[in-house]
Amino acid sequence: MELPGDLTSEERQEIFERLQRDSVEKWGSERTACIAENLRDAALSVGRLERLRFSRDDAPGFYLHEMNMDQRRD
Amino acid sequence: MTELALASVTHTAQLIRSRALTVEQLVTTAFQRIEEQDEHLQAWETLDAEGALRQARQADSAVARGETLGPLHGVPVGVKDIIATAGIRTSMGSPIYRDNNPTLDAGLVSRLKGAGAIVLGKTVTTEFAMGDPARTKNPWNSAHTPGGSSVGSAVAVASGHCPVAIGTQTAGSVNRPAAYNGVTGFKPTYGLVSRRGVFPVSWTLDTVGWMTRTVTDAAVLLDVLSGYDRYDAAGVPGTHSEGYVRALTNTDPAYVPKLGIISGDIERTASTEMQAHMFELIEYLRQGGTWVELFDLPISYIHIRDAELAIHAVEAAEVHRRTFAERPGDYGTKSRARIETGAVIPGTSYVQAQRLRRQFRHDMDEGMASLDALIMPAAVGPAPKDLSTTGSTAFYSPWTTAGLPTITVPTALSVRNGMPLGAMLIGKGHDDIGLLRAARWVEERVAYSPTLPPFI
Repeated sequence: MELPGDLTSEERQEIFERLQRDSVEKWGSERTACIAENLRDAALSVGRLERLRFSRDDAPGFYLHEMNMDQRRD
Repeated sequence: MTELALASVTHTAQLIRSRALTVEQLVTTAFQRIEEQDEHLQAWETLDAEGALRQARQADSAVARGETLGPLHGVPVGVKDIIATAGIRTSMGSPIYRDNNPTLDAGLVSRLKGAGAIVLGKTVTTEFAMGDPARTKNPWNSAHTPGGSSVGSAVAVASGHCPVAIGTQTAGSVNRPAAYNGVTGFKPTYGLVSRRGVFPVSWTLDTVGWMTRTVTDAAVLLDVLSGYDRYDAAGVPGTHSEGYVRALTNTDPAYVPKLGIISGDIERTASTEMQAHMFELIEYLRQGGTWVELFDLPISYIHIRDAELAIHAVEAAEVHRRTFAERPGDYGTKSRARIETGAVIPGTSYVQAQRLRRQFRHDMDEGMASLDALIMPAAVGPAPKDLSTTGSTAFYSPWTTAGLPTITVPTALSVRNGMPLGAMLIGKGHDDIGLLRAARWVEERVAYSPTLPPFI
């Protein structure tokens, strides 16, 4: 995994506006301060996560172990 | 009555076995205490006095007949109100489920009952175990938050209503209220305890945990509750043990833990008082012979809270997708914000978050290989004097996201405001016994004697 530098304020604002646009489209225009704050936090997190560089072999660890679904069905 | 209110699970079970106390007396006393205090505290959502007293009398008959008794025989327990209990209302802290009466017990409730526990009722949860504060009061000072989301469970144990209560943790919902209310809060390794019958917040983060008065009691509960359940996708066959108490009891008397201190970001975030307390505590532990070294958090830690935010919000949005579409007005402000936000976080970010958590878990397992546990403050500081929040999750969400076991141990009361202070220990994945052993050593060394809160 490679960790690039943090987001610039412009990049963060751009992602926030993107999320806000999607949110208004999905939920309507009624906004609260709490939702705006959540979207701002999410914009930062989304931006940081999208910048992480993984190898193609780095699979997501949904359940934190190596079991596959067939084994879980036992 | 005070002595009973402060009794541990182990001591309570012993009193019953030795016939020094009947289960009926114990349960009756518990309900008297709840009746006196709960109008103020609001720790209980639903009480089942009739059912509990009926079970108590059956439990007394079993003692009289000389039957083999389970490890929790006659021990009163509280269960968080997002965990299904057959015949007892389970509301999820939401008006949407106000009249929900499950017909089946959650897997963990079946295990509690099988071990002889008496379910007193359901403890208050924040709405759907999310961020809107509940009505419950902190018994140490009602102007301070009691935390969340397993808030009723923490307050019930702190106030002497029962020696153990069950909660759940998605970010910090067991460890944080335990720290704010001055009780032991244990969250085992992700997947050890079945969540069948537990209303989800986030499937890949949710972990069942519990509040007790001692570390040994936390191990007693782990013996009872851990076990593979094919109906819980997080469960892994072969990773459970039923010998946690035995392993704890058989610890070499010369044992001293090797602890890593988490510094940097976390140290700077803690309040001045908490930093000073931890400094003194670590010095004291060092004098007791423990090996203490600085632990460098891996690079994957840097954005792990971003991963937690994305996973938590996206999965919560899906859990509530249909209900929220039908009844948005029945959701609290913070729940609504999380659900709406989760619905617009891109799928690629969610996958990146799940990749990062896997990397972080790997890095933590590797970094902690030569240590028994990490140690850090149990909270940023004493419970904040702010009832609009349940407190910060910053000290807990990284370890929950990695699925690591964690335990908070009360160590003192603040000289500034009398609120509880504590330490948190973090173990290696599936080394819950290593964590409990280290925590018990710290508990014994500190020798903090819990008292009942002043109910201000």
